Amino acid sequence: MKVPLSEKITNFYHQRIKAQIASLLGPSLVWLGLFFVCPLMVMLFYSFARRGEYGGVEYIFGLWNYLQSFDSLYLIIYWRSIWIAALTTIICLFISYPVAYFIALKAKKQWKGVLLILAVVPFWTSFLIRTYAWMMLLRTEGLLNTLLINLHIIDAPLKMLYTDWAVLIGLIYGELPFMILPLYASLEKLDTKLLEAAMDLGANRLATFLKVTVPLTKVGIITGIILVFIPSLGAFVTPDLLGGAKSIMIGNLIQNQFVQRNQPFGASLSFLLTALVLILLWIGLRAGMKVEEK
Amino acid sequence: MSTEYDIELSQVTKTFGNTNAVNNVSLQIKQGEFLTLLGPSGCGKTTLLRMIAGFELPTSGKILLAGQDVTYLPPYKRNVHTVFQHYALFPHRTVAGNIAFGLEIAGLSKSEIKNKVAKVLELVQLSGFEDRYPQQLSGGQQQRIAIARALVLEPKVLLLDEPLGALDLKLRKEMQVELKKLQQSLGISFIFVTHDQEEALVMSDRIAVMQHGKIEQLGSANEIYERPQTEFVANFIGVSNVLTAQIVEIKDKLATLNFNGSKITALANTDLASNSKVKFVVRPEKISLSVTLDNSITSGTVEEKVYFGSTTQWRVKLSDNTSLIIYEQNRNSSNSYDMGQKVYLNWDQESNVILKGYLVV
Repeated sequence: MKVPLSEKITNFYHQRIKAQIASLLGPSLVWLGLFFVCPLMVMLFYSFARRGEYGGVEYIFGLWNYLQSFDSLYLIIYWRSIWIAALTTIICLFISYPVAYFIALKAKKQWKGVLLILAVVPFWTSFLIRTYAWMMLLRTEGLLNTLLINLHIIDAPLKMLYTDWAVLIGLIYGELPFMILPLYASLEKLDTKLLEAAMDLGANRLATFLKVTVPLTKVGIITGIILVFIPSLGAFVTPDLLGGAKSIMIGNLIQNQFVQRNQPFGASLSFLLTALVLILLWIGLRAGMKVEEK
Repeated sequence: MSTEYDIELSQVTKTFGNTNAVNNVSLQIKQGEFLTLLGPSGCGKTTLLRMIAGFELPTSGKILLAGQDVTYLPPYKRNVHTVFQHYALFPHRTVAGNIAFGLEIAGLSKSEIKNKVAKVLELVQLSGFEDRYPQQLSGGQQQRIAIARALVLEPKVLLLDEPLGALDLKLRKEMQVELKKLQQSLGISFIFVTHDQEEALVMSDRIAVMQHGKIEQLGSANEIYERPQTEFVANFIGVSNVLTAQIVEIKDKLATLNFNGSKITALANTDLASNSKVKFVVRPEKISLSVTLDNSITSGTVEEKVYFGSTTQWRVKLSDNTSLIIYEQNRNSSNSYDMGQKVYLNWDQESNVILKGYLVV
């Protein structure tokens, strides 16, 4: 049977498109497969194994790592991680929204770029150096305490460094741009005519904000929350440097396992963290959707 | 306090930087009136509307709404509502949600809101569209929803900012008639902003022609067209032949003019001195052409012919080198002239309108 020419041409183009898709997606798929999926599989494998007597992995399989994870000692650490990450996210949102709003809608055009760059300028310095700077500010003989004492506001230095609050401050400081940028992106696109329309229909500034601005910038808000919450929950450098021994978070716990050559327990904790993030995000997003439906 | 007027503007001025966007405008809008602010872009018509809505504060002057001073009230405290140029429908709300917005703010119960939304949707002939989103509607439908959203709040005055600008020609013409009908049946005042002179003529009870932040002329469509007071108005609305003549004498507001050697008469609304030169307007359709001398005012040679189907546009050059545009109805095929042919022009003397402020010494 003879294949009609038109079909031949169509087939040719279908083949071509397939080839294009393969060549475009190929490199990133190979990369992700080699350096993301494979290690993840190895980790999953380890998480069911047992720690050897002198560290390392012993290939005896069971659920003990996961069971051990629910020890009350660890539950406290998870809880602290969640509230610190949640509080970081909320405070970041409340600080960033006015900033992003100002840059996107109120600032003069020629200033927008400058202001956005100012928001990310701290990132041009190493994260570690910036965290050390916070240590200099917060420690007992640090800048802040010296200042407060010299101003006679306090008599004895406050303990600020190595507390949960220090961790919180460090995290908020570090994550702020990740909230500002997505909020800015969605506020930039906001049609200000809609704000006028709302006011025209009787909504005062607050009602306009809640009923029009917030719903229309929801994508930015959700993106910002995700971008801030996930790294905050798994943070380990900030709590390590600013939090000290008592303010340990999941990230430090996991890091410690690998340092102590307990890869199986570390791997299982990593998977628990992933699961925790997914569950919390799912709950959060569902709640967000419901609010919108109202 | 007088409540004969829905809106009174007194000496309203708005300055942006060094320019007066609106310059000392006073205007009264009667109850139930359809008033159009007509002018080219940048003439201040939109700024004026935005001051009435409350989006801009006047630099000086007063705005009264039903006798109450609202000059400095925020938009959400004024009982006027706006239909925006590009509708400004909320993309995150359904049609019903958009219309219900103002009612929710006003704190009406759910059943009341539902009733009102249904009623107003029926009024704009879009019942059954409650659950669609604005993006799913055509331009004309979005337009109606924007009107419904403003009307459901029963405003004293509805402000419309070039609402038909984004529609195609056919739909625009339909909506012109429909809007006018709606306005008449509701009996509320409409202030309509447009740069489209035809739209203004079709819909308005009165038209305020604006230029450089000032009202050039305020009057009915008929007055604006038949008796334009300035050259700007004459040229902006319809096509005009603006001609120059010399005043011979004035008696009882009737001026005798010397136009290219012929004596013609014209209404003189302004104080004019004898012997001064003036400009006057004759509309193209008022002039008739003929090949015979009888009763003619002047003569010229045919320069150009443009065939429009129902009418033919002729361009005739007079002896003093000015060109006139003439529209002739194509009632029969007999009235045809050759290029360069000598023709005689005649028009009803009452059609002559002397323009204000264009005395040429």
